[in-house]
Amino acid sequence: MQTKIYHYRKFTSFLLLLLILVSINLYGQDEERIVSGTITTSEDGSSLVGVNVFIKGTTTGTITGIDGQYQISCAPGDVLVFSFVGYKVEEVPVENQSTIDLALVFDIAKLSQVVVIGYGTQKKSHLTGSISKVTNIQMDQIPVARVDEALIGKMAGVQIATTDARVGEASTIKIRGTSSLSGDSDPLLVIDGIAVSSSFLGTIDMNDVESIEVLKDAASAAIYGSRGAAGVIMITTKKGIAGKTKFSFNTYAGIKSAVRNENVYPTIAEWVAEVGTSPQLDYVASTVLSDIHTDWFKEMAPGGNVQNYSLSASGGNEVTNFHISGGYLKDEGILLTDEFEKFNTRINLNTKIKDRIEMGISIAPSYTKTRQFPMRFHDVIRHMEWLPIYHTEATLATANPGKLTRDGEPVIAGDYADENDWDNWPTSGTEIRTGGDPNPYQRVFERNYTTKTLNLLSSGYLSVNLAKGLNLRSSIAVEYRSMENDERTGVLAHKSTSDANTQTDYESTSHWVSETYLTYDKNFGANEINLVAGFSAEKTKQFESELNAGGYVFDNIPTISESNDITRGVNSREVSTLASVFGRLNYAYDSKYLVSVSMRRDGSSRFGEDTKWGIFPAFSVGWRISQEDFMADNSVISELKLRVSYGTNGKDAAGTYAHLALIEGVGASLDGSLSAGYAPSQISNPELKWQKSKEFSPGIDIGLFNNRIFFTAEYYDKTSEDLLLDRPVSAITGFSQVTVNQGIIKNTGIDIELTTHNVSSLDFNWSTSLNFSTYKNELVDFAGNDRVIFNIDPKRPFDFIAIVGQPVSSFYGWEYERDIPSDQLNNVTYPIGTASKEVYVKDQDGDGEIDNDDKVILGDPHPDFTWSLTNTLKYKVVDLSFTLQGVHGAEVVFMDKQYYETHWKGSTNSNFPAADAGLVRQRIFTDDIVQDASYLALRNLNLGVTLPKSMTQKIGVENLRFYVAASNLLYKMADDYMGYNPEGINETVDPEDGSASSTVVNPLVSGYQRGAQPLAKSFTIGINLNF
Amino acid sequence: MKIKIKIIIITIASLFAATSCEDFLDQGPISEVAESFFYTNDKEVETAMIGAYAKLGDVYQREFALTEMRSDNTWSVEHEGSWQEMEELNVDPTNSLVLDYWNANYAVINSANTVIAHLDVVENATLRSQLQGEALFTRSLCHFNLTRLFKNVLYVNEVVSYEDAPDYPQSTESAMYTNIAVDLTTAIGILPVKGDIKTGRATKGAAQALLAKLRLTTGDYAAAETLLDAVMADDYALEGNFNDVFYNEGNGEIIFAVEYLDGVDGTSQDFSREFTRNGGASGVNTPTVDLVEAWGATDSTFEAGGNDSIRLVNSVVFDARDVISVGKFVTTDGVDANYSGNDWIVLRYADVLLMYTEAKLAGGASTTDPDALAAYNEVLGRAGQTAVGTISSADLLLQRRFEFAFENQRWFDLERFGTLQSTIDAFMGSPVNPNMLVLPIPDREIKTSNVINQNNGYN
Repeated sequence: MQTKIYHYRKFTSFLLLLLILVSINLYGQDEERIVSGTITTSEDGSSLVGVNVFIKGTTTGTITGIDGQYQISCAPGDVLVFSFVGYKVEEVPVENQSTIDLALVFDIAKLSQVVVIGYGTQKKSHLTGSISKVTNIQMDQIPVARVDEALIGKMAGVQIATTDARVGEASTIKIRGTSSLSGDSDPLLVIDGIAVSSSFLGTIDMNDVESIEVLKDAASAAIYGSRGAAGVIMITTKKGIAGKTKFSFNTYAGIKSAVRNENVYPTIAEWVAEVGTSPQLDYVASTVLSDIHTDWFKEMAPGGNVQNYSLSASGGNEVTNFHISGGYLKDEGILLTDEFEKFNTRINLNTKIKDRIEMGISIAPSYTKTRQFPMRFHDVIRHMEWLPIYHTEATLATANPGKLTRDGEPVIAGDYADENDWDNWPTSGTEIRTGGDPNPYQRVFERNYTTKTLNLLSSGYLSVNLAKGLNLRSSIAVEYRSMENDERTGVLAHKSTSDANTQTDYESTSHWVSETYLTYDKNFGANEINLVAGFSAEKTKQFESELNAGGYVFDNIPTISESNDITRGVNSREVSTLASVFGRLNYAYDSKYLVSVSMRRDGSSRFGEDTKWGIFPAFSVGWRISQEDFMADNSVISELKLRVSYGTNGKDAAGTYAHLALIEGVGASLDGSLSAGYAPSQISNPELKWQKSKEFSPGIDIGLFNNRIFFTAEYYDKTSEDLLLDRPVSAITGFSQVTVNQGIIKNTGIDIELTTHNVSSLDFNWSTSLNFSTYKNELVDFAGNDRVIFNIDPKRPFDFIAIVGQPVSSFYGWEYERDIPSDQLNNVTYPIGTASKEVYVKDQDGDGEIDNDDKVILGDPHPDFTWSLTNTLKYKVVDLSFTLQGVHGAEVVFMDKQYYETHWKGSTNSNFPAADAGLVRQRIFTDDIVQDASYLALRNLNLGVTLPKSMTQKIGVENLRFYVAASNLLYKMADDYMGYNPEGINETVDPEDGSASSTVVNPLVSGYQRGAQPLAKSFTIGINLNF
Repeated sequence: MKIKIKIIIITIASLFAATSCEDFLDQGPISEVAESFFYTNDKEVETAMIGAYAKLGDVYQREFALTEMRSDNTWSVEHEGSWQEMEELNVDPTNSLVLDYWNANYAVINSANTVIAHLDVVENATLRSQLQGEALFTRSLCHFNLTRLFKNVLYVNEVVSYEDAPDYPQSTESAMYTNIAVDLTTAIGILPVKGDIKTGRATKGAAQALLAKLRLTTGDYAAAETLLDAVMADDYALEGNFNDVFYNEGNGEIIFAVEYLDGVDGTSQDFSREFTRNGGASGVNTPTVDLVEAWGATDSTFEAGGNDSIRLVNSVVFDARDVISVGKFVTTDGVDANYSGNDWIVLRYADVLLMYTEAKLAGGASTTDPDALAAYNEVLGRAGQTAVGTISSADLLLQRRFEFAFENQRWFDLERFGTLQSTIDAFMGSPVNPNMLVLPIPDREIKTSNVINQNNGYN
């Protein structure tokens, strides 16, 4: 039986033939001969350049040339192996053919069998740590502005939340829980091997992304030493593949709107039905105001369009390959004035100079422009529908004439209407306002907050093959970012013109990294060795300037120089350096017993003389039971691996000069003019060093039925210690805190990933993947203090407590018991919707009085568990995929509630029994404002049709697909949650003064939600075109 | 093969060696100075003293909340959170206003002690004693601020490391006053007089007036009188127009003021804005009805008038929106109120005159002492009031209420005159727990110390 041409499109028939070939092999002979052939791709029959062809079990081999042809000398009985990145490996026994032509099958699953692990790659089967990988399949079709948003729900143990729903704003990423008490818990971002700022998650184009790996356990991340403690996200961009140049054009456009789009206040008619009569309602009903029906939600969140275009070309020959691309995204967001635009280009170029020398460059500039929604959302929607945006002659006639001036000028028709314009009208003490804030439209529209960033990441490498299996790679990368942030508050934005203000911030960061490392690969007998050793050095320089000016009397010229009142002009510079050596040994015996040992030593300028250097070792082992002889006959279990890892890594979350005692310039006025003064600004702590994480993480991988069912479960026990934290110190030191290494957090959890290929046939494919994660967070030590309370905002000081034995950032206060009866309250219907300011709270210790001893923990922001379920189906030309995702058991301190219910108005009246005064507390200090932040979302849905090749190839198109996609099409929030984004958290609240303008992330007060902007859903249609 | 291995080893070794370059990892601050390079000469120590004055600017930002808002003078519009705790005299030890005030005062004390610790590098002897006097004055002022509000606080006369801080002892109220008096007496001996030093810095007169106030607080009327005599002989006088006291900065009545500048971040204040409804807390330190009615304003819309109209119209603003607010320290037109430049007056000559009257009254019910009458009538005269022939304790207290409304004096006046409990009880409409008349020491301070105790009545 002979077969000359193997040209299969069908996997099943291939398997059959393989069996036949194997049997043929038994009759092979032993004479050397020349075999030649052409290798093509099964997709379109075009030839593949650079395919490895070698004789199995030997190192004899060749690669295919420009036309996909090869020639190799072999003997009958040999088996030829054909391998090419991204394609299924084919093995063909040599019988007595002289020609072996093959069409290799493109295999996405194949791509995922190699995992990027930092300074190299590893076969997934040989992994001993916890690494999740997602390959970019349709992720570039999710209509979001940032890469991190597209990753939501893709990996177990990687919790991504849209904490700020404004378009273009960073998501919060937590890998295996909160492991830090100061600064962000952001994982390290590595793009094509270069550690860069996490802001690149907002600027890189998903169309350029090949795959994303997340190093989750300490052992895997330890190769990044002092920066790996919060995990590592590794992005690999697309490279050119030798062969015909391929063009790819992807575009989508669509609309966005809010997931929840209800007004907080009912309509006038609904109010009348609800409360019957009130002074406000009566007055409104008697005037033209009853005809005004402003939909404040719609005015503030009118929705928007999104559009995205991306064009790339990639190709090359066996010497040089390239991938170039350009993209444009415009996302209008859903809020008034919200907008995000991104332009990006990329060149990836690799070439071989000689057989042994390879070099490449990558240049990726991008530019983004964001106009932000400038207000907290609760402030702009808590208005009744009877408030018009603009005054008309008719509305002016209903208002208090004494109020109708602004900065001394009369208010006229066309001016913004202010709720307070009706104060004390028609009688003293009457008002129709709900909050007293200026008109929302003016507050938003008369402000212009714009941020422009330029990001450039360019790198080059040189790789030299020194000897067989031994490679030296040296690279240099330069990252440059500049950000210009303009915040203009116009003269009409606030109650008084004197609040007009321009703030211009400029920031630039330049960062270079130089790395050199050797890799050595050697197989002998059943032993496989992979060795990496190298060093790196990097330097970061930052420059920041901030200008602030007021005193504007009109908006014509909003620049700083036009102001006669420059209030702030500051700039600062910082430099930090990091030097490292690292090494790793991966060893496998018979693909059965796996060992990985790694070590990194980092030196950082951020720490003191004796603490500059830290060592971060890691160790992991694996046992592939499925490879054992006794499992050989098992037809059910195709993969069974036990593995366990232990590693340490760190985080250098300290300020650039945190170990030094510093003196800063402070100005004092003497004789009425500014005099230079200096004052201590930081306590010295020469002992300051890295915070460390130690993690023990066992895991199991089970593959059934030829890995059609693949199950991974991992447990972790991560202790983060020597935590960098701002320990409160007595004020008599002149400071309120000192940065120390004192604190321990423990995160223990389970991550499960299950992938099944339910149906895999010629016409119909269906696969499912399920992720599940749960973790427990516990504060083990907080600088020796049993409990420290932090509160936010002197006006509404809700307590957060750091208490040993409980999760970080637990909510603290009194437990709500019952409301005060309405006949004992003032103003229950005035302003409308008022809830009582105070409530009866639970006397926990039963001593008959309410005091601080009755405060208890009211909740925390850590979810009980998170999960996601993705289904991918393909039937002939139609494909469908969707991801359901859920977070359960997380809670937020929902501050908006007291604004919606004007808690401060509903005070007790004389009916309230005086004896009960000690039994009530302000509602906002109770769990009445703690709400369930659980949700269940249909994160994305994608339905596409690919036109048959027979049709498209006639017009020179290789692939043409149309699709419709939706994100957050369904989004179920908890019943008791009143807001617009359960994921919303004010990450950067300053616990000292509550100012939201602080840029310091404080994990100790996480879970505070105030004024969160609504989460968006979108509906898009798109085209993928390859030619 | 062996040669290759050698090459590899040498290459790896050289890579490791290259990174041992420590200079690369030695990066010093650029926008700040490391302490080890500072306090080396006269100029640097003097700028450290100016730094202490800059820090003094933080003390007065929210002092009104701990003083005026707890008294019968002011409250807030919205009655919320930490502000409400103040006006209801039910202050939690975690109250952030308390913590901020405590921190701000001790930051000044630390800055002053830093100056004292580095006096030995100052070569110019005149400058050295002046800086010592200034440091002692600012330190005393902050110790006095803290003692009056919290009673049993910590007397800190050295730079305290954070390692030593947990065992630093707490003082009693009387020990505090004794120590402060010693510091101020030393300062009086070495400080320059008004005119020989820039305004905004400590003078002999300021130290004398402050010590006089301390003496009145401890009931040492004779000592107070001597000190006040000295200040009255100094170069101070009442400003002719009451309004000019607050808006003609650096006027002759000022004995010590913390200076702020219009529109300079870090050297401006925003309490002027907080006093209005545009403030971050929507109107705090708002005059109470009780105060405005005491002033004789008649109806609920508080039209200007009453029996002390000069001080009333210059102290309270009745704006077009029927909102009443503080009329002292109003931001200059056209200036961003977040960066107001109105100075905070700590001590002024009218206070000296009325303190003198108080010293003469010496705890009695009334006095007809001619010197006391002269001083008292001088203040009344500027306010357009008729001179009197006898002064009762109650009259003096009321005059002080009108004269110094919103200048954070009321609480301490009531305390010195022995009517704090009764006045607050009457104002609140029910008896107030006497323990609540002393503020709680910040919870954070209790938690970070091994030795200090919370004030009675707080947990």
